[in-house]
Formats: sequence, C-alpha cells, structure tokens
Amino acid sequence: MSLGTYFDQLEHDVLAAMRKPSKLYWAALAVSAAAFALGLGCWGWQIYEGLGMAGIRSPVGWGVYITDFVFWVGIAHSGTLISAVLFLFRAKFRCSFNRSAEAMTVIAVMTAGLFPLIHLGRCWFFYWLMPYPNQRHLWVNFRSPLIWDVFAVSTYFTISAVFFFVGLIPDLAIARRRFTGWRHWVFRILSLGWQGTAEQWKHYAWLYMFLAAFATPLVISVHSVVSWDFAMSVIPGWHTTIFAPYFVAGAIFSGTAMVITLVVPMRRILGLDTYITVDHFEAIAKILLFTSLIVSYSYIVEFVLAWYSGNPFEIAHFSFRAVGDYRYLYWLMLFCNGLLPLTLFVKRLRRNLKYLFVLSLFVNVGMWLERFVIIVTSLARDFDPYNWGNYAPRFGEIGITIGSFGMFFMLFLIFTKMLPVLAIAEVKEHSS
Amino acid sequence: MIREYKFDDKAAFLHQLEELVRSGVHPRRLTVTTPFHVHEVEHILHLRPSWLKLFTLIGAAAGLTAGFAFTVGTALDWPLRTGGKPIVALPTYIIVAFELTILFGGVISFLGFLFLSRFPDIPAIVSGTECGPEFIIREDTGEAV
Amino acid sequence: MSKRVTTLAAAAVILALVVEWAFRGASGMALVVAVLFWAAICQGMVALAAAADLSGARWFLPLRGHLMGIYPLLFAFPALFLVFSANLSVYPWLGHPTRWLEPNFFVIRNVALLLLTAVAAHLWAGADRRGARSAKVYCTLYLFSFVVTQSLMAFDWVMSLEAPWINTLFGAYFFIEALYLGIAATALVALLRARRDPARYRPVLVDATKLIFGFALLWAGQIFAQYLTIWYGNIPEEVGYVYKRVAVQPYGAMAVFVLLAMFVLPFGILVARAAKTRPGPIIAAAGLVMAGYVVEKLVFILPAAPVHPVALALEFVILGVPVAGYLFARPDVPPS
Repeated sequence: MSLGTYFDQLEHDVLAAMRKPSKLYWAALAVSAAAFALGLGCWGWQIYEGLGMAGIRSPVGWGVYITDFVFWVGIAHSGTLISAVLFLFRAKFRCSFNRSAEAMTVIAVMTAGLFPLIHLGRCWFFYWLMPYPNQRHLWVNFRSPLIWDVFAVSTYFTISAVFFFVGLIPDLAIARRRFTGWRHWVFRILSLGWQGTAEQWKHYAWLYMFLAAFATPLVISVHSVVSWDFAMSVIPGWHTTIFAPYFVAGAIFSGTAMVITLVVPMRRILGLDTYITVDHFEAIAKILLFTSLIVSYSYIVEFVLAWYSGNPFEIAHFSFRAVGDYRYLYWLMLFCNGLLPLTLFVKRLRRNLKYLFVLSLFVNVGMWLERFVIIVTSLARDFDPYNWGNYAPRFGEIGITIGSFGMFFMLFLIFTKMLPVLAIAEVKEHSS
Repeated sequence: MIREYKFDDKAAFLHQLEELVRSGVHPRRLTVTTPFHVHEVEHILHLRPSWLKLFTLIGAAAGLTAGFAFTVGTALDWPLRTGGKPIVALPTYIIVAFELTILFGGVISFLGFLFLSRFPDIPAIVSGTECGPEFIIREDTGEAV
Repeated sequence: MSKRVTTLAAAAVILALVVEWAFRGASGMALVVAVLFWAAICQGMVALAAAADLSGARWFLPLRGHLMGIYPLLFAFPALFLVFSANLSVYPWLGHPTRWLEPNFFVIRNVALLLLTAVAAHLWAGADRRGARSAKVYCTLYLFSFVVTQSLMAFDWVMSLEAPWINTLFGAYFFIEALYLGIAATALVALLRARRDPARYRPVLVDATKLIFGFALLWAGQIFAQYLTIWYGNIPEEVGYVYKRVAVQPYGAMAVFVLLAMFVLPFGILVARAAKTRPGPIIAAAGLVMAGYVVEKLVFILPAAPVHPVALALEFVILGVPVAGYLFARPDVPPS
C-alpha cells in the first residue's frame, strides 16, 4: 500500500468514527446523561438542604467528595503521562492513545474541579479561594495546601487544555477538509487557518516540545500537591513523607487503567483495530504493572515502618486499617491494586484485551477504595479515643459520585463524535 | 506564476526540494506544505530558528517572579500567623511559584506561537483554503501568467 | 575481563579490611559512606541497563554491555558490609535491641540482600550472553532486589542511627539517588567514548545529559517532599532530625552545598541546549552530583555517628580504583 493510500485510509477510518452514531452509542450516552442528571439533582438538593445532608460529620469531615476529587485528578495524570512524558521519551506506541488520553485528562480535571465546589456546601462563595484585592485586606492563606491545590489544579487544567488544543490543530485541518455543513465551519474556525507550511510546523514543533516539557513536571507536582492536602497534617496514616511519589504513582496507575477501560471498547466499536494494536496495549499494560509495583511498595513501607517506629498511634492506626471497621474495603483495595495486577507478569495476559479490560475495572474500583480508605480511616481514628467516629456516605454523596462518572463518560462519548480520536498527523509521521 | 509539485512520498518530496534549492531557486520563493513536521525542510530552506524560546523564557521568568512576589507580598500586607508558620514561609511559597512558572510559561508560549505563526489566519479561514495529505512545493517563478 | 574486575574487587575488600583493622573501630561509619557511594554507582548503572532493557529503550544500547559488565564488583559489597559489621557500636539500638534492630539479624539480612543483588545481576548477565529467554526474568529479579537493597540501605544503615525516627520516603529516595548517580557515571563514560567514536556515542551522551537534567528535577522533588512534610508538621520527635541537620552548623552549610550540587548547579549548567554535548559542563554537572551525594550522606550520618575522615578517604579510593578503572580504562569491545 502506498503512503498516499495509507494516509487516505487512515483519515477515512478515524473520521468515520465521527459519523452518525449507532443505537449502542445513543444508549450509552443516555445512561451517562441520566447518571449525570442524578448527580446534578443531588447537588441541587444539597444546595437547598445544606451540607448536613451529606454523611460528613466530626471527626470525619472529609469523605466521599474528597475521595472523588483525588480520584478524578489522579485519572487525569495518565493522560499527561502518555501525551507529554512518553513524547519526551520518544515512545512510538504513544500516538495511538494520546488523543483519547488527552481528552480524558481534560474531562477528568473538569470533573475533579467540581468537587471542591461541591464540598464547599455554599459553593457560591468559591471565589473566596482566589486571591483578589478586597477592602477587608483579606488574602488567601498561601501556607495552606488547599490553596496550593487551587493553583496546581488550575495550572494543570489550563496546560492540559492548551496541550490538547495544540495537538488537535493539524487534525482539525484534516477534519475541515473532509466534512461539510456546520461541522466544516466549526473546524474551519477552530483550526485557525492552519495550512501546514514549513514556518507553521517549525513553531508548532517547538511549542509542542515546550508544552510537553512543562507538562512533565506537572504530572509529578500536581498530584504531589494533592497528596500534601493529607501529608501536611499530623495524624497517623496521613503525615508521612512517602505520600508525594506514592500518590503520583497511584494516579498514573488509576489513569492508565481508565485509559484501558475507555480505549478497549472504543477501538472495537469505532473499528480502529489497525491503528491501536495489541502491541500498544501491551506497552500500556506494562506501565500499569510498573505503577502497581510502586503502589505496593508504598503499602509495604508504610505498614512496616509504622510497626518499626514503635509509635503507638501509628501502630494502632495501621491495625485499624487491617482489622477495624473498614477492613473489607482495605483488603479489597490490596487485592485489586497489589495482587491482581501481578498477573500482568504473564505475557499472554498482557496481550489479552478482554482480560485487560476486566482488570482495569478492578483497578479503578481498587484505586477509588484506596483514596477512601486513606481519607476516612485516618480521620475516624486519630490520637484521642474521645474523638473517634465512623463515617458512611449517604444517598446524596453516592448520587453525586455516580453523577461524576456519568459526566465523565458522557463528555468522553461526546468527544468521540465531535473530534478525531486518534492523532492523525502524528500517526502519519510515525508510519512514514 | 506558481508552479506546484505534489508528492505522496516524503523522500521524493525532499529530493525535489533539494534539487530546486541547489538549482538556484531562492528559498523565499518556495512555499512548502507537509502533512506532518519534516525536520529536513528547515535545513534545506535555511529557515531561521524559531523565536518561540524567547516567549517561553519570558513566560517562565514572569511566572516565577509573580509567584514569589504575590505570595510574599500578600503575606507581608496582612501578616497573619497561621499554624505556627513564619509570615514569609518560603517552602510553601515555592509550590505556588513553581505552578505559576509552568502556567505562565505554557500560556505565553502558546500566545507566542499564535503570534509568530500569525494565527488565527483570518484570510485563510474566510477563503477556506485547504491543505491536503500530500507534500506540496509551490514555486513562485516570478514570471507573468 | 571479568577476572580482572573480580581480582580488583577482592583486593578492595582485603584492603578495606586492613584499613578497618588499622583504625580499630575509630573509623565509625566511614566504610558505610564509601560503600553507599560506590554501591549506588555500580548498582545504579546495572539498574539503568535493566530498566532500559525492560522498557525497550534503544538509546542505551551502545553502552549497555559495558555498564552491565560491572556486575562482578557487586559481590564486593556484601563482603564489605561484613567487614563493617565489627563497627555496629555506632548504632544506638545495639544496647537495647528489638526484633528488627537486632545485630545478627541486621547483618544477615543486609549481607543476604547485597548478595542477592549481585547474584541476580550475575544470572542476568549470564542468561543475556547466552541469549536465553530467562534473561528477562533475572533482569526483573535484579530490579526487585536493587530496590529492596537500596531501601534497606536507607532504613537500616542510615535511618536506624536515629531510631525510632521514621521517614517513609527514605528508601525510595536512596534508590532514586542510585539511579541518579548511575546516570551521571553513564554520562561520563559516554563522554569519554564519544571522543574516540562520536558517531556511535554522541547520541548516548545527549540522552544521558538530558536524563541528568530530568533526575536533578526528580531529586529536588523528592528532597522537597521530605523536607516540606517534616517541616510543616513540626512534630517534635520528627522535626528534630531535620533541625540538627539544617539549623546547626556546619551541617547547615553542608546541606546548602548538597542542594546546590545535586540540583541547582546541574540544572543551571545543563539547561542550555549547547551544554548537552560539551565536556566541561557535563563533567562539572556529573562531578557535582557525585560530590553532593557524598556530602549528603555525611549530613545524614555525622550528627548521629562519627566518620573518621582519613578512613573515609582511604576507603573511598580503595573502592573507587576498581570501579573507575573498569569504567574508564576498559578497552573497546565489539557491541554486545
């Protein structure tokens, strides 16, 4: 097949995915939208009733909302890893995933960003988080990790969105050429008049490299900052130095699992088997295995060092995690995150897409549980027994969590129909 | 008069481009469009290095300065001791400055890209010029049509 | 080639034994510091080769065989730790041992892990030479044992000096530093070889210097994560460790030097694109990283245990001769 024919076929195949949606697509969109509506309804109810309708009380003042926040920010990280970090490492397999991964990042950060607002209760006061001059001379407390979060997550969203858009420009030009009607006009405007001249590519290549170089420290720093929401406290289970790399590895782990969850069915439904191959999935599976090992290492080190320190609070806390009221969640978490991914040492399983898909679902569950266990158990059992108390999420919180998943999948489904799911220009470059 | 050469194959395209430049055609008279970035084109046409680096450097420096200036400035403006931390708690301000370095660096690089590439190219959007999947060299021979 | 390296390693062990005997315990933690440094370089380089293999990285290939070939030296480290075990009195827990911090178990587990790392590297090198499929298995085994060994070097050798103080990131921090040192050494080897065969080794050099740049940032992130958490929490039993090493002189000045040498200066030197292939900046950056590592270990150890400077210098050179001799003097061999 000549290069010209291949390019033609590639454009046709990828853009065909954006044609008329099937019944299955509409059904999936309907389910996601319904879940999203449930979430919005619950949030509306919470605004009406007040934050008390959630299950968070003293001493567990952070519950499912913060779990969801950390979960979604974590999901976002793997997209940046695939786009930016693998670009700097010149990993060839990246270009079959990077567009979907970047979209996943932007959508996940948007979803995550809602949770600080939801958790505020009186979300209309969110602007108090921003440092703006006011006549009371009040400034935000820059010494608080919650404010570092505001800066880190805003920066992450902005850079991810810019990176996503910049990567799209040449592909929007291709879509512009192949579509007619209102979509042609949207692509015509969004592609900014891109012609692919040598001058344009010259600046583009530099910009892409700089954005990748900026996004790479973001991958490490943003989730480190999120982990410091917990590590900057003094309570056992939270105050530990390993949190920064542990959370970053966990984020990439959960995000990679979500990429698999999204791309395995997407590839099948949109008929992109030629471009997203089993070899690509095997490479992603290796990243999943590697990050799982880092997370397992962190579990072991935390546990062993708590016992080594002889500190009665540390020992009591880790015992509570293993045999206390939340033990089933804890052991399920260990199974999903530490034990099950070890099966990826077997090459046959790494190359089995059905297995990878099912495993990724378990990992998603396990990583959500990990955040829940870390947050809730430490708050439920800190230093003073008088201050102990358990937490259980209530209907509103569960509804909002389901709503966040609904929002994520709904937006991703919309993305698959509105924008090219593969980085066409990059695939062309690598195939030539 | 514009003479157009179209290629499906990268090697043939580069060969023709080299031939044209070697035969004395000034790079200014050549407009090259490619479906993806081809490094060799920049060498053959002797294109000047991109000024984008300057935008990136300015953006990053601005972010770093703004990060520290803002945090230290606001802390000194209304000194409130929180959590037993010093008024100017540099370890915590490093984080904010780091994030702003990346934010300003990235955004200003992007704006620099738009500026240097003359985007959005309104005439091109309005006229609806297309770029295909081929490698195209357009030579302005300077002769009348 | 292997025989010469093994002989040098054996000689180093014997000489170290002589030095330790000569100082009769007054050397303190000198041997530990020397072993930490050279083990970081040797284990780190083999670990880099292993990581490059498992991830299919091609940039490393020209140097792969040479860097893997240092594995026989890894057998020296368990022997050296046994030599050090005569000095266990530096540890405060010796008088009142616990289940974990108990002298016999302490020595046995650390010697066993160092031996396991060496054996795993040996098995990997052997399988690799034969082209056997088990090479990937041994390669993974090596990386596992590298991680565990470096972690225990951190927790057991250094952290237990201030028992029961804990720092959960310490273990990972040490093996990240080992990789950092490994990449610095790789850059120096690539630089030397690029002089004779630029076409083959220049690309390796460029990538190695980019990795030094990246690791400088990663290192800074890790040290900051530790410092910030401990400083922010300000828990008395925890923060005392940092206070002794940052606010008390001369350790405070040494700590500043470490920050400059392992992050600020390599970052500044290598940020310019042109610097990535010129010998001056690369030698400076790599040299600073290595110097910073040694000073950092002294900052960790000195407030809690003595290190005799003469013993340290002697043992540093004794262990350094075989390593440097192998890396820089080895004649060119056909690609592996």
